[in-house]
Amino acid sequence: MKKAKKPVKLAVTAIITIAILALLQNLLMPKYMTEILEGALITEYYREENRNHDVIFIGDCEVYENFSPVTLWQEYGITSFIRGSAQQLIWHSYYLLEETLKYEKPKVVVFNVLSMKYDKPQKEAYNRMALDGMPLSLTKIKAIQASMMEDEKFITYIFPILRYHSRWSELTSEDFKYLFRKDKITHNGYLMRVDVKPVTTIPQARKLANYEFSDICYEYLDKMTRLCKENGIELVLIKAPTLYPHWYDEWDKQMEDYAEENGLLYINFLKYTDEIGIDYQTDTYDAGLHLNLSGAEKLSRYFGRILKEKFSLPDHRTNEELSRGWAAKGVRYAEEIEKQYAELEEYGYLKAFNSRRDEE
Amino acid sequence: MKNGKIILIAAAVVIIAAVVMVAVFGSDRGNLPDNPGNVNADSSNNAADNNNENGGNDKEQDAPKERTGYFFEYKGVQIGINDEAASILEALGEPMHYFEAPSCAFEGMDKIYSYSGFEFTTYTKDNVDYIASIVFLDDTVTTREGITLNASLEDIETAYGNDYEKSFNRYSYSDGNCVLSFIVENNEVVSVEYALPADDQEG
Amino acid sequence: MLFTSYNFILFLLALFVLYYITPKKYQWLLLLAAGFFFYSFSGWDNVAYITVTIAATYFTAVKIGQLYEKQESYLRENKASLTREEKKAYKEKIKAYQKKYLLLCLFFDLGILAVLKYTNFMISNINSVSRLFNGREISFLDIALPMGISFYTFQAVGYLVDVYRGKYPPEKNIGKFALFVSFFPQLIQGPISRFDDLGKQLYSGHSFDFRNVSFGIERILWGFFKKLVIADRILVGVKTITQDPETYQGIYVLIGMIFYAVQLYADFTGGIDITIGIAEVLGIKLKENFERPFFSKSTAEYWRRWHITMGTWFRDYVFYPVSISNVMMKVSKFSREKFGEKIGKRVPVYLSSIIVWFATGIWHGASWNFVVWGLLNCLVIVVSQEFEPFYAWFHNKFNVRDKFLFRVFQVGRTFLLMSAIRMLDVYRNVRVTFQMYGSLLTKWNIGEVFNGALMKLGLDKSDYIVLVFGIIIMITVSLAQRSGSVREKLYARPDIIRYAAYVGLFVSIIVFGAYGIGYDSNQFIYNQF
Repeated sequence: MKKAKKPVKLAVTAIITIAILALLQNLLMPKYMTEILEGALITEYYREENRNHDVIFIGDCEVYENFSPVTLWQEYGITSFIRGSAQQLIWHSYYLLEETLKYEKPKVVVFNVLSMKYDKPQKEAYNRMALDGMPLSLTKIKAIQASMMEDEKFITYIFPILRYHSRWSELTSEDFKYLFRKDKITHNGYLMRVDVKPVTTIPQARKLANYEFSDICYEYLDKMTRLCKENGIELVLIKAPTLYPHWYDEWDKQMEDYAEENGLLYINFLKYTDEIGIDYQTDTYDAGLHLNLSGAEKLSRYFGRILKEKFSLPDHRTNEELSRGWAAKGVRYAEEIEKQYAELEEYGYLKAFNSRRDEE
Repeated sequence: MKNGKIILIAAAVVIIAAVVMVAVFGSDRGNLPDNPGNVNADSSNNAADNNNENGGNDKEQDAPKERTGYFFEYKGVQIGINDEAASILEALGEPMHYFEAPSCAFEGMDKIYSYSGFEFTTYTKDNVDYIASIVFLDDTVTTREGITLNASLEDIETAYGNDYEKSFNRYSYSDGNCVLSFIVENNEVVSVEYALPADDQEG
Repeated sequence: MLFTSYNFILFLLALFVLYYITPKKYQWLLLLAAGFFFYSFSGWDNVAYITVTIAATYFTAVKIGQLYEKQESYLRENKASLTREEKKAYKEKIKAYQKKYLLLCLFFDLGILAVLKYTNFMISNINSVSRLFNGREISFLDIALPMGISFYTFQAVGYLVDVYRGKYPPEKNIGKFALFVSFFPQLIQGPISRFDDLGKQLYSGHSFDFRNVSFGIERILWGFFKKLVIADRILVGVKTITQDPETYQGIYVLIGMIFYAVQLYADFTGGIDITIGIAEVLGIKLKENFERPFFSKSTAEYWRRWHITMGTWFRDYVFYPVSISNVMMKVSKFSREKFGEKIGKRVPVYLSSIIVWFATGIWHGASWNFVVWGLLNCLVIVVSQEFEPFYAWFHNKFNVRDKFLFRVFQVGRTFLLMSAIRMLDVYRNVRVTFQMYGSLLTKWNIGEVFNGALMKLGLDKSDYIVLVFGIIIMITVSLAQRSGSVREKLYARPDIIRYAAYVGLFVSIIVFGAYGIGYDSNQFIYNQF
């Protein structure tokens, strides 16, 4: 070191600094492995080995809690992945789609339209959950710019340590355990919950002054439609069959009109709950906001048939290599079901979602 | 002669000193315009103080202070935006319906309490629930200024004046802490809502 | 654009690169442009204010300079023909002209400052007097103080007075002069530079010098460390205590005093470190503004070591002119006649001191708490001067002057005294501050501190850990500075140690800095003055 020339020393120092900061950044970023699992969703896609899906779902909790790709495979041989995240807004969805198309060309993209009601970002945390998991790319940069709340800083998305640095005082063993390697949390994007909380009452829908979705949302919906058209992808708009937040008839009409104008399939599952067989006494884990495993499997079976018939998706179950992969996923899926039931038995609730329970 | 001059000067000094003392000790606001607010108490603190006062009002001994701004009153219970929910719930008794909507992936939770004729929602901050919004469900309840569902736009203007903000068919009156808004369809009030100002509002 | 904003850091990086690829001859233009770019972030009306001050001062100085030239050439041409009296009379005539210009421009420059800064203060005073007589109240004006107006006005005024005094000829190039007034790193909180010191450096151009640049960056990092890791973190505690004087009394006042001393020191010296560091990267050496002030053994010494450039400015441009002014001469004569030599000679000095401290106080902020703050400082200094004979007797009698413990006592005493007076600038209210002094002396609640009350000030355990370590580092550096520059010492060590120190500093700022969501973006305290 002593004899080394100045530029060399500087370069070495710079590299060491960057390495230290990178390590610290990994350490300080939330891991979302045992709590707020929703934060781990986006990044899982990039660790998927076989990124070649028939169907990609994009949207908020109404996709990642309500559809089960394993069921779609087991019932119809459809390969699918859910790129959902908590309160994913339409610009998040659009850029995630744009990003996904860099890796693969699905035949069908399914978008849940609930986020049409939001014309601006609601909470920084949701931006983080949607964006931090994406690798750096031009798409991500555009996504950040579209999503930031007023008091957020662009650079903190490029260098998340600037956002999470003060977590040093609240690091847990989880942060060290998952410093380099993360567990799989979802089943191709599906965040499973087996617990049940029946619907008792649903609040009356509040009147709105204006039911028209905002221009910015339509703008992104248009972009999404165009992107799919350009890539020869069928875009399907859906509204998941959850009872709250309220889905207004005026909103439904707009989506129907939009789908018709653009030659898209739009399904409001709220209208088919009987056909799907959803029983709101047994098929939801939070009294009507999200479906639980039972509900998600019912919905997947119903929707899978539509997808298969409408878009003549091939049955891949004859493909040996794919079958092997999906068989492994099936095993993990079954194991998790068992684990969750066992947990329910023991504690009366699911530990991974217990932070909320404590709050009550 | 000379002494007179000195007395005069002394008197002037005393008067100036007195005026300065008044200015120094009498004015709390002397520095307001110059203050960038990084040391000054901000308004949210004051709001919190008000809440505490109202929270303690259910005890009868001290007469409730005259409350200003928009708030709802039901069977003698005052319900205002940002009030602590606990004492209100205690005074109102068991709600007809209770619904909770946990926000996705988050500790936060919207709670909706429905009573006969109206419902209110709460938000949680530092483990304490505060009133986030109050909505009328039917025309059995009325604002303190006498507006019920089915009232007309003229009724609203008579009760609240013309200083509203209009967005589509929503007429909103704000007192800084609370926005009272009416949705009017075909000259008939179809919604009465007390809520947080738009910036603080979710969804 | 705050010093601690990402935009500012980006701006700096871009400027540094541009600066060293710009030919030396044009570097000053780049700095000028950068200054106005920086300034424009705070609003174009602010740019207008500074431009007006620059223009007025520039033209006045040039005019005064021309009068000097005229005088010189007249005297040279008529060297033979003029008598000594005639020469003197001519000089006086010129001086009178110059004085007119000087006063006109001072009136203008300081007038802007006075109107913008003190109008609302005057209104509030008029109101509180008129309230006594149930009079009508005047409403406040809605004017925002332009960024750094107190600092750039002082620089401009200092320059003008120096030109008037013939210390140096005026700058001919208005662009160059504008750069002197608007040099951006010092624009918002000082130091207050002198033209003869800073001007040449600004215009000469500098080529890349590794040592300068690395020293500058080091200084910047150190400033950020003090500001972000210490000042902005302890700020929460200061706010909790001082914004709620009803609750936090007794021992909390003392805690608040100490917290605020730490915060102000870290904040202000940190900001100055950043300023000096930026200049250093650009190859420009600014005057130091602090010399370990908290190690002062007396108030007078403290004020020679704290905010030095402000102190010397007031000395050179207020204290001296006032003490040698005609009025003061008359006062001196009068008081000597009236009160005798012993007391009489003190009157003008003390009067000048009071004026200076009044001005210093009101310069810090347009409110009575700052005036009282300034006058209290003055009082302490005057009283200790008066006690000088007593001190001499004391030291004669007990030979403790050089004893370590006695020095520690002196330092501690000065620190506490200064911290106590400084509370006027935190509570911002004279009455509340004095009530708090009272509660500090009468309310004995030390026990609460040991009952976990410290954890309820908005700071948690991890905050205290960072603060303790940060303060230890800060004190260590200060102690090490007594025997010469810490940076020179570090420079003499092997590179690996030096680089490790840089990296450590940088990483700890990033991790332990109190910035980002959850922390307010806090302006440097001195920005407001």
